[in-house]
Amino acid sequence: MTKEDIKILLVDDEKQFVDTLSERLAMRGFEARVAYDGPEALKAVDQPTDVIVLDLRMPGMDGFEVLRNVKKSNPLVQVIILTGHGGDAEEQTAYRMGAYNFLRKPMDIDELLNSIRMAYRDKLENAMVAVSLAEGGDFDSARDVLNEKDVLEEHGK
Amino acid sequence: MNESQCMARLLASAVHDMRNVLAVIRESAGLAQDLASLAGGKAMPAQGAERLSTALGEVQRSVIQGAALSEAMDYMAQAGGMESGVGPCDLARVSRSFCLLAARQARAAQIHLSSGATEEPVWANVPPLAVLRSLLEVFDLCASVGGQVDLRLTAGRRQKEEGIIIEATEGANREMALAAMTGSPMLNGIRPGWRAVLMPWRDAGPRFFLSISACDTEGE
Repeated sequence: MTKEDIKILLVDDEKQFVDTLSERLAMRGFEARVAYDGPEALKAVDQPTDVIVLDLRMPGMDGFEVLRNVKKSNPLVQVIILTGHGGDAEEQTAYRMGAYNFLRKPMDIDELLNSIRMAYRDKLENAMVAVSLAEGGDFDSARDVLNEKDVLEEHGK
Repeated sequence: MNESQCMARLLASAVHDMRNVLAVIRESAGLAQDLASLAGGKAMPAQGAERLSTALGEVQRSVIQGAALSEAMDYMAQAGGMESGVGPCDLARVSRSFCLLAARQARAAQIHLSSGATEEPVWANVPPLAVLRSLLEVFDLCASVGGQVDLRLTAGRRQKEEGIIIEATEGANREMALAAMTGSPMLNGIRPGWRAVLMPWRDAGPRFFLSISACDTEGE
């Protein structure tokens, strides 16, 4: 089995679900850490993280709050929402806040893995574009690519 | 908060829980499938492994069915939570949701429901619950003459009116169902804010058009 380089953080208060998902990802060669609530997630994201798979409805700090904080502190980290809650309005809000994808439970693991791989590829491309802009002296554009500036003005900061 | 909004909130809450339950079942079944694949012929005979894989596949299919149903229920919750008179609603989505939500009682009435595909969305400026109520009345018409008919619901337009094309495609009681729908007074109903009219599609045949539109009348 090939080991995949993508570092994944799973955030969900449903322990049984997220522990099983972590186990299945590990069987496919992915390193997948878990966090069971928002504060734990924000602490965990300080370790090298490429993609977060994030639930929306959690006790205390909800997924939108985690998303907002992650985009502020670690703009290169891609966030995929995976939730049992949420209609079209929540989906639109998540995208406006910078989420890469919005998936609903129960999901097909191959669909999730495809989304993770594409999010990671997108992350690498963004980083390369930002470096290229910075090397050309366009630091504002480079910062915008990294920070997705327009989406940080959303959702009550 | 009115009763409809109350139901919508409770339904949305229950749907969220149901999706989490289905997610746990799906992941656990998936893990069992992964372990069975890894074990191969070492831990159990090939026939046993194959049977296990089939059983777990059935679990996965049931989960997908449950997920589709919860999607339809979530749409009901969203529809119920809307203020009355607020639209527009996607008639194709309403048709799909109705087919899923009514599937169990349709089976009991020996009516097979299906939704037809549309190339583009058909939007109507009526509450989704109004459309669901009208579809249920059509369903009751067909059930009242013994069921045993296949009904296909497709969002569409007749001249400039939005509505749902109802086809009685086959079934032992198809003619009875068509006769029941022809000129039924039950559906020429006017309610506060909207009106439902059932009419033949273009000519005599197995198709009807359920036109649902907003209106200013006070209603029944």
